[in-house]
Amino acid sequence: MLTQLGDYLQRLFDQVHLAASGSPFWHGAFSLGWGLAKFVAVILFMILNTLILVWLERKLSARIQTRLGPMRTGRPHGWLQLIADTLKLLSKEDVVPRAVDRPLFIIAPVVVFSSSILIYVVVPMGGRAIVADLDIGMLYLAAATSFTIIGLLMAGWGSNSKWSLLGAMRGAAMLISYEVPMVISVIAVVMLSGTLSTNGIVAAQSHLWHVLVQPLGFLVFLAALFAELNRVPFDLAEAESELVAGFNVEYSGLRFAFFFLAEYTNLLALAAIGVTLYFGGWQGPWLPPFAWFLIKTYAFVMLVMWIRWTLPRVRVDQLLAFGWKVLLPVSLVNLLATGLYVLLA
Amino acid sequence: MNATNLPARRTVAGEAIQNLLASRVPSARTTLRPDGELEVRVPATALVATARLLAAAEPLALNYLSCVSGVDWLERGRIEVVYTLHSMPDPAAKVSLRVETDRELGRAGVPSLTSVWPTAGYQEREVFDLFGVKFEGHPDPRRILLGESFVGHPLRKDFVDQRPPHRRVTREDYQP
Amino acid sequence: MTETTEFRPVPSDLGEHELLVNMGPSHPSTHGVLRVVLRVDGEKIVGTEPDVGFLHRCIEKICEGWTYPQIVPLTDRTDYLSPMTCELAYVTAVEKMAGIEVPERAHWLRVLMAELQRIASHLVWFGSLGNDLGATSPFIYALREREHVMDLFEAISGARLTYSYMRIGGVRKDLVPGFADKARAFLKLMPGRIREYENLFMKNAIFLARSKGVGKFSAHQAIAYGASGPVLRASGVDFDIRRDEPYAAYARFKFDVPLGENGDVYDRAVCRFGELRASLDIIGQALDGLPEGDVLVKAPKVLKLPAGDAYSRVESPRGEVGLYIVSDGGTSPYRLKWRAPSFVHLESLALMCDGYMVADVVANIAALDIVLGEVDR
Repeated sequence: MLTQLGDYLQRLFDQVHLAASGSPFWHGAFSLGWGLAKFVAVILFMILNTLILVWLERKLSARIQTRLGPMRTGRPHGWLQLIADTLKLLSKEDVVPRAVDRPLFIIAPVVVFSSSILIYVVVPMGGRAIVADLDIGMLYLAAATSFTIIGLLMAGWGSNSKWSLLGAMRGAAMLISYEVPMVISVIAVVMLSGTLSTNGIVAAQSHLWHVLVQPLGFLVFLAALFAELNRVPFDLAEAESELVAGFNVEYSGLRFAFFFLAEYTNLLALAAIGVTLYFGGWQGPWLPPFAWFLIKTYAFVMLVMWIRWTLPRVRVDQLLAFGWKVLLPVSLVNLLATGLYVLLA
Repeated sequence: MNATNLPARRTVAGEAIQNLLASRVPSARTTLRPDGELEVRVPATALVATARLLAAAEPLALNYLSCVSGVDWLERGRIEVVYTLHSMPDPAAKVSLRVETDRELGRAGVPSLTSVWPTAGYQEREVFDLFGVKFEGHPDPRRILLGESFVGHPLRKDFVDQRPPHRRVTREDYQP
Repeated sequence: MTETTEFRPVPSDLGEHELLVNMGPSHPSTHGVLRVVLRVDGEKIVGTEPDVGFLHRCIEKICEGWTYPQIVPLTDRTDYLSPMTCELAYVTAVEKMAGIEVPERAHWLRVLMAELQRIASHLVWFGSLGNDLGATSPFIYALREREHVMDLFEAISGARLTYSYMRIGGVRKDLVPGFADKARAFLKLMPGRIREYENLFMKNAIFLARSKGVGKFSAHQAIAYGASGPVLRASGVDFDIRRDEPYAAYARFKFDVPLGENGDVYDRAVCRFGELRASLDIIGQALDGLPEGDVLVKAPKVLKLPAGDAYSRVESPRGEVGLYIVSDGGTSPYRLKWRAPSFVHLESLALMCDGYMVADVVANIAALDIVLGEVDR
């Protein structure tokens, strides 16, 4: 029944595409419209999943701590809690402290949030369900994740508070340091797959998942992932118990909601990328590809959350030492080994 | 460590210190209590010398300052500062070093013992804060518990609170 | 780090690269209303200065106007995370000066309650150490275990935080039926949990990196700066008031006193975990050997202490709690000075933090286990 509907929609799409390919104007309008429609669909998907992730974090952390988590708002299991929290954040007064650098202060949350959204453009969610199957997918990804640093620094400097500045400086140092091992381990995967496009990487894992061929690379990627996501054990930019929320200490209401949601959007996006790179993306027997995508991504997300609620936080000098003195050499060794393997095999 | 018979061991150590002080600090008046604690009363001029002697005494040096307290003797017009010393890690020596000073604000002052026992730092600041006794030679002579702008020294027996009465906050304060 | 015992406050001239950061009274990790002014050069700390007094309630002045029995509930409010020990310190001091003989059973009950309190207090220490270092989950586990102790205390005194259980002349009430069984069940439960929590920390690479070598404090410095309790023992000085200057019934108990070596955050953690186990041991001995008898002697209705003064100390989970009471023969103390270990330890915070990083300040404060109630009184 579902496949019949899919086929019908496919034929409708093909006919419209054919009709539009007549004149360049209509072709252009069609491409634009289709692209926008995909983008809107992804945004909705992202917002829905972000809300689910917030709820999941609360429930998972509660269960790890032998608590129950939200139970009352929306029986059972408090699924309305997330809506309630969002409404609460939206309804708060928009406080802009007098001494802040207004343009930076106001734009920073937008920059951070948009850098997370940009990643969704190349996330493959099923056979052909991808916003744009760029040939340079992974390169685009490395560029998109680097935006966060700018937003972080804008927030830290613009807040005109020493604590924000400390947090932003730490965060920037951390993000920059951990980009390098992450990108190098991604390069190793790209060499194995022979293509930079995300769908291509998924296709290259049809026989064997990359995690089995590249265990070292996966571990490096996982460690760097925590740094990119700003999560414990590497959540120095906003170390709650030291810096009282670090770079976003002066934010409240909707602006804080942006940072908060950006963190979870980023989590889902990078988890999806991790699954794409190492765990075979949307491939799997019996179930439709989109279901596999969701299952694998959520499993990865729950692994990340599990680690977050177990480990303490590292200190910033230990973090940087670990990134430069351990992760970087390991990822380079991994790259070399992969290169040799690709050359000889 | 032998915890049995602590009073007897303390008495032995106390007597030794008594003899030491009798020979080296003639202006010190010592009293040995039945439980072994030695009270040493010195004038302010001999305080630092006595303290150094006690901190280097053999065989049990009084190297651990437990407590610095002020006592306001209103009728006598004096404030007494009491330093309670123990020996560490064998607590067989216990001495309370006492010095008295004039009670009047501005005249109340004793030498600081932070050069002998650094832990006196915060505790002497507290005595200054609550009693008004100045400690000469203290590296950081500020108030510690009360605010910098507080007037008066509360633990004095004749202290009267000078602050204006706390005004009740009403709705009018909030209406713009 | 050169070993120094000089007293060094934060100088007021600020260098070019230096920043004065205020870890304000309202902060998730300062264990209460503590303000620490940090002078930082990037991430490195160049000067530390604690600023206290936000919780000052003039307890010592109040005591001069209340009678001796009335002061017992007030002592609960100094160190509110181990009130039993505070009450014990006070009643021991008063009984020593007044010459009141307490029945043997009351002495044993006091030891039992003090050791249960030590476990509860160290559990809070463990939880807040984890929370300050970023691992929130251990805090919940620690509070879950602490609930057992709070239930026991509630059964015996009716309150969960400020008990007013010890009285001048004994304790207020004998054990209720079922207390011993519940306590023994707790004793059975705890060793496994302590092992779990130790594994969570002592074997965790991140925790070891955050705590080994952080806040080094030598034995010489510890004695010079008046450290006591686990802070002193972590530096290698073998002194425990319960064993070396016994009070209540401690002379009749056998227990371990764990020692550290370097006086860093790790050693203090080792000492406190060891004390948790030792406390369980003592509680077992107390439950087994509890003698029969009264729990409260009839103290005179109007209690007057003879003129004179005395200093008396006990071993609280934080260190040496000392009471210096001066009496002029009346019904209230002429002067009551509360020697609080946290107040004295705060002075050495500067020594422990200078040269380290901002994140280490938090670890050091957590390892010192400061309670602002007794710092400010």
